[in-house]
Amino acid sequence: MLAVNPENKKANITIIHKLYQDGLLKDDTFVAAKKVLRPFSSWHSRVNRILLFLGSTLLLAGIIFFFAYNWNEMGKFLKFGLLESCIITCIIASYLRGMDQLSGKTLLLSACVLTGVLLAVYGQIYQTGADAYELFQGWTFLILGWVIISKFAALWFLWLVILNTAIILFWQQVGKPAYDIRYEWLFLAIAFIEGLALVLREIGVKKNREWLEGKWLQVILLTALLAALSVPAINLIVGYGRTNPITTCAFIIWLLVAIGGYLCYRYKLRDMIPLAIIVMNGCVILLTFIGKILFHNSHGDAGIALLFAFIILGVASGAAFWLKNTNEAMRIEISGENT
Amino acid sequence: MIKKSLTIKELLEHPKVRHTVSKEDIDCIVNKLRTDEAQPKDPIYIRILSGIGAWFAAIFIIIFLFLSHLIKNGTGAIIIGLILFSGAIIIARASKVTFPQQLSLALAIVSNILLLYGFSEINRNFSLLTLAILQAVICVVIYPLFSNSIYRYLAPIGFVILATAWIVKEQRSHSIHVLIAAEMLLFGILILQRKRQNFLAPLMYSAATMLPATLLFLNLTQINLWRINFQSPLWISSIIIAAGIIYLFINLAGGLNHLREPWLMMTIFSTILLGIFTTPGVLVAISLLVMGYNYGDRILSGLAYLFLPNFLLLYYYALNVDLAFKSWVLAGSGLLLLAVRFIADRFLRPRKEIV
Repeated sequence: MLAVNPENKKANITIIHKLYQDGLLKDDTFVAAKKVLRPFSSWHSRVNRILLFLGSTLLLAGIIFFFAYNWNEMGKFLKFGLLESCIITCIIASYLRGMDQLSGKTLLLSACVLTGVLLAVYGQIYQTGADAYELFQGWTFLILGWVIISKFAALWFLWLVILNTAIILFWQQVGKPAYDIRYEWLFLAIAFIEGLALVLREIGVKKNREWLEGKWLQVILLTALLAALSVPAINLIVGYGRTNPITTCAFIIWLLVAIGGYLCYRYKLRDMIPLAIIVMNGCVILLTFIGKILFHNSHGDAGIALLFAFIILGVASGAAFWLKNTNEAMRIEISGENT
Repeated sequence: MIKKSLTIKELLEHPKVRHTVSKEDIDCIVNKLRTDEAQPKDPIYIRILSGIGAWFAAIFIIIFLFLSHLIKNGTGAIIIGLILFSGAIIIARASKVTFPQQLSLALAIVSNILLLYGFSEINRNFSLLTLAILQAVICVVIYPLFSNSIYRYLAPIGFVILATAWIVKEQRSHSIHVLIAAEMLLFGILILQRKRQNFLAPLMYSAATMLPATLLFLNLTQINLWRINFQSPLWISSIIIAAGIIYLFINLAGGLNHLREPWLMMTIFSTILLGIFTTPGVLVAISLLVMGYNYGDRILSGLAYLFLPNFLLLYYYALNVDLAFKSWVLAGSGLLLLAVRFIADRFLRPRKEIV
């Protein structure tokens, strides 16, 4: 096994705390090391980010709550005027701060959120009876330009949430009742959007786009992609014989995505967290399949329940064992490449 | 600021650190790091997988026990619960292989549920409070004996769930503040312990999870689906949490002797202001984010990021507070935090330093 000299490991605050708790660092060493790793400037910068994140989130939430209250005393022009001036102020301030500053990006995100509030207030004042999906559809298109220039993962994520909501509402309000579009199409559409966003994120990271490097976006997109494909896949297993060819098609797509994702994250991108998500998702589908076989016509057989409990433990343990080994193998491969 | 990531060796040889460590200290540190590398801890995703797997397995084991009529009454449930607990402890100590470890976790969950069920069956007059106390006793007894970190994390949460259910059922709304104070105190004590024993880490995460979970639950009882008339005002919890956060901040700053530092004075002043008019959820999110950063703990930061949107969503639908009032509270808190940021950026900017 290729081992990296422990002294050459990157120092971080977690290791320092761990060493201190294990009694390997004296009090003064611990304090001195902490000051080196976390100087006042580092605290200042992080607290700055936390305050910006919390402050803008709460302020925006406050504005949303304020307009949701539907003030009767406020005239419609005052409402529109207030919101539009807030949007314009955010845009100008964002331009002045610049897109390379976090505050500039946050201001642009605020403008995007306020655009949605403006559309909602418009719907509140002029009640035309339009479906709610149209608001989200309009919101998606209106802010797209800002989203593209923002280079801000949180704003892209917000845009994806709005787009997904528009699609879900469209299916609920128009697709299903008017055109009898099957639910599988809805989940395939969501999976397509999430899948595309995930692929673009990975390409972006490969091309050193720093703003896309946050793991959270990858985790959410992959989980949403697999969850969307798992619904028809589970339905195919549970309701076998009562399904449509499109359900089978969705199951095959799930299988291809899971295998493709595994190979990609195992051998090309070498990333453990997405690999773990794929394996966990595979366990869910596999256990649903085994459960369906076992409990089909079991008529309350106690032994089957115990057997299934052991199968769950077996599958989970097998997956955990596999992940541990893969993690170790990948660590060796990566350190081998680096030396 | 010149930024460079240091290796452990470079850190120990740093001019500000090297005079505090001897050659022997460095040897001990290197040996420890080598041992840790040889026996790496399970990554978080494996622990999540193990926890979920054991939880579902436990459900089916309980179904088996009832379908097979092995449990006929409360006494039977207690006896089987105790046998399974002993089995879980023996298996966990006998083997560190994945399958037996998972089996022992599933058995521990089953036996915990059976003990609660058994005692509530024996005496039908058992209140939820008695069950909560019983869960606390189980937790205190089993915690040191059963070394599984997932069980150690889940068992205290079980106690809080039962205690909250009792508060809601009996409409003892003032008790929720006692519960929040206890959670804040436990979290504060455990996280600030400089030399915390490893076995207490799951309890610390439990407290960190319970604090936001209690607030979410409190909001959940106020939505249209499940409206419970809570008589107690929320500002009591806000003051308790604000006091706890101020204590945490002073501690992180290095003690009361730093009280004259302008940034600490501003932090305390703004926390007091937040404590007066904001909702407790905001304060909890702040404390988790700051603690997460201080300890380099992504779980704590992740909890805060997960909690805040859920809290805002439930707060929106909570019917105990007027929507207009909620909007002032949130916008006011947001403006205060942005104002603090502006002042810190303008007047408390750090001098350039070389790291």
